[in-house]
Amino acid sequence: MRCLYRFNKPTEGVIEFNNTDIWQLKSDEYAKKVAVVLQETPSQFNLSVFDVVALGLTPHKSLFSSITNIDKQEITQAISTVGLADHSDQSFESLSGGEKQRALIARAIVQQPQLLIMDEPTSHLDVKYQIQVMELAKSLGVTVFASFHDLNLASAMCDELVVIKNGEITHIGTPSEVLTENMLGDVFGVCAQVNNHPQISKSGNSIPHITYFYGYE
Amino acid sequence: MVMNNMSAVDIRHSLALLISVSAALFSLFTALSFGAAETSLQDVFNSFLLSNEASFNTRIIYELRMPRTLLAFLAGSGLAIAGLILQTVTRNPLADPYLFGISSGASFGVVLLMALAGISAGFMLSAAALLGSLLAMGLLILIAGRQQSAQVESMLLAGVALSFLFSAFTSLLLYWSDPQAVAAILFWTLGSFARAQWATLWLPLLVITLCTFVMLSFRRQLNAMLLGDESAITLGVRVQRFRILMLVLSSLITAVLVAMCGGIGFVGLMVPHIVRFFISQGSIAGLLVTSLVGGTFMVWVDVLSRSLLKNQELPVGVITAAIGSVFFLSLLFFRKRKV
Amino acid sequence: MFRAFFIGLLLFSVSGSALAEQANDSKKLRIIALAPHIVENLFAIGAGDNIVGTVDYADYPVEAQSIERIGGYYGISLEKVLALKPDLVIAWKSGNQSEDLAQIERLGIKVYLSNPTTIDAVANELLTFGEFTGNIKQSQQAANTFKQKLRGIVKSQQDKKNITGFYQLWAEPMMTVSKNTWINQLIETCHVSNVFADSVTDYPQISIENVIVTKPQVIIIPDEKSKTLQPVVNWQKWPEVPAVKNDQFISVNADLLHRFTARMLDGLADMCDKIDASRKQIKSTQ
Repeated sequence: MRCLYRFNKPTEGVIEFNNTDIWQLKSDEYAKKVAVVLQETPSQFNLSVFDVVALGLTPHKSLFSSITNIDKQEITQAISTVGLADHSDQSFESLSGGEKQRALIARAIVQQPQLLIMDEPTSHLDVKYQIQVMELAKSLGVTVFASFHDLNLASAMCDELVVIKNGEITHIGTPSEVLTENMLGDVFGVCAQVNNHPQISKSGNSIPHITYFYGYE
Repeated sequence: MVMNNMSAVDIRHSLALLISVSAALFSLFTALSFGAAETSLQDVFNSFLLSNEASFNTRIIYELRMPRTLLAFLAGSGLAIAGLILQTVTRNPLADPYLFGISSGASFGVVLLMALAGISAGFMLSAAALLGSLLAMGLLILIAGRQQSAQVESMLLAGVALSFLFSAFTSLLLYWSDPQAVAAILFWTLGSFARAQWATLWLPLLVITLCTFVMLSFRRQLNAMLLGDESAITLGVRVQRFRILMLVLSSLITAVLVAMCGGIGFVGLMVPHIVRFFISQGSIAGLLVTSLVGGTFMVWVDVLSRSLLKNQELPVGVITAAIGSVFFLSLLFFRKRKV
Repeated sequence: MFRAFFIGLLLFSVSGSALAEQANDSKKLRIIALAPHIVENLFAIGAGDNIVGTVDYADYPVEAQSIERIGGYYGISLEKVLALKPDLVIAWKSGNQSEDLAQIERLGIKVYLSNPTTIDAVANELLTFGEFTGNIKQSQQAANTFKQKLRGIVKSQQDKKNITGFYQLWAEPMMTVSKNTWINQLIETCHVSNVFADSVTDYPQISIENVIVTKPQVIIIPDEKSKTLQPVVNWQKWPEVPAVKNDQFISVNADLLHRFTARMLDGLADMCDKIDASRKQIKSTQ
């Protein structure tokens, strides 16, 4: 994932975005197209929620420009969209894990990207917030590229899945295509049963649901 | 209509700015009335009118107290800003401009000049101090600048190492000096604004104004750094280069100030801490208030340095160290109570 | 018979005195002198040969430069001290590390501290050295010469009018001396009162404002042989200060003034002469 958001430079191969090698673009040009929501943010320095969300403007603004009223509206709008309007002036540090993720999504919204990358966005969250955050991401109307450990959540939320084992891609396809009992055994080393989830996805497809078997060595 | 759109935060920011500016102006003016000579408020007023028939007291204020008060203000605001920049790009609230060996480099330059050329005063001494600082800065960038990962840790380690290195060489040179020279170096290092003159004020004014301006322009990038290197990269900031640039800016400020005033510690550490309690450093207001508070603080420290002892000067560094220690002890105390 | 007795007595007394001389030679005091002024004073009383070891910067008289060096301000080599087998170590508290001195005493070597606090105490020190080395007559001579010279200087200054002065000990940061210092005594001998005499610390750090407020009539700047003179202060801006108005800047040889020896009196006499010249000039302008 770090290669995708230009943290690491690949030693081999090329990453392309809209058919352009991403390393050919300037860093702020790329940032206008791709926004990232990370798991862990270092603490301290009590920036307010508004300040953090306002950071989404960074790639768009030149050095000497200041925040216009329109920008302010966008920021406030984004904060409302993620449901943090009451916490706008609060210190970012004082938010819960789920709230912090939502604030970072608001920042990504302000960044107005074409692609949103999310690095294990649900790992530390309570179940309710896991669902809430992913639903929110889906509703933004941009392409989302997220990494998951929870396969059922991935199955329910995603249109397409990419399975990686030992640094190699093993499967690409829709959840129905990818999530088979064989694949679970080969790649993840677990015994499971795959059924259809009671709900149907918005696009009318069935959602595979995995039931894991326990009690084996 | 603008007022209606202003949130509570905006109002607080504007208020803070207003108070800081007023306090600064008030201090700059009032400080002029303190000193060894008995002067009146009338004298202070007169010193602003540039007349040829200025009285003795008026000239004392104009020639001696004004430059040093201004230098103190510049030093305080410069060090506060330099401290803020460093704390931000290293994400370490304990970072201080002196952590990186700049002051040790300056002392080394001074002692070297004394040992080699027997020069113990004047322009050459300040020039040697400046060159020493720049050498320290150059070495730091050379050693830690190219690091891609863990750049912050490398910078901190390299800075501390350089600090010790220069101190060691300075001590070695002092080993062969006579006690009088050793005492003089000690006091030089402890800092003083007594050497301020109108003719040389342009240098710190230029450097600090420019660096502050650049810093204000890059405030978004600075805020982005606060959320982590990775996060900042995703926002389009070229983190490694930016960090070096900010290090250079803050080192320049520190180098110029050490060359002119000696070593004055704690201000770069304390003032950003204090201002952060009240205003988020993410805003323009936060940066400006830090600068103003630093300047105002130093103006009063200078007043203390020339008023505490009768017809004598107490080195500025002694006062800031004393205040700094009390500050940190009370921080510790309040933290304990919070937990 | 009487002649035999007489010759016998003569032989006895000759051999006796020869023995006595031999005894004296073998009992010659071995001294380690740990400050330049101590070396100078020992030479002044004819005891230069007694010195077996000294410190780096003991450069007067010329013979002193060939004495073995065993240390400096930074400390002394205790091994070398032991190797030289001294009978007595004469040290100066302000110039030596007290740790080193304590260590020497623990090793069983007698340590004498030279600590002249007044100008005439130098004469007493010469006498003390005389007692140690046995050069009583020479020490008395040296002490008397010193006292006479000092008396002469004091007498010549007797009717001089007191003027105020500022002694700039160091330029950056600017430092001066208070009344508890050696320099102050010297200045006052020349009938100059130190404007910073009553300062809280012995070597106060000051600013230009502090100096011009005291309005000294002369400004004395020590000019050590190792340092080049660097004017740092633009005194001309302050004609209200009498020293500036009358251009009374005196340069003195600090090297001489800082040594507690007979040569100090030369420096003192020179300083008093220069001050007197200033005094006359000040008077003529009034």
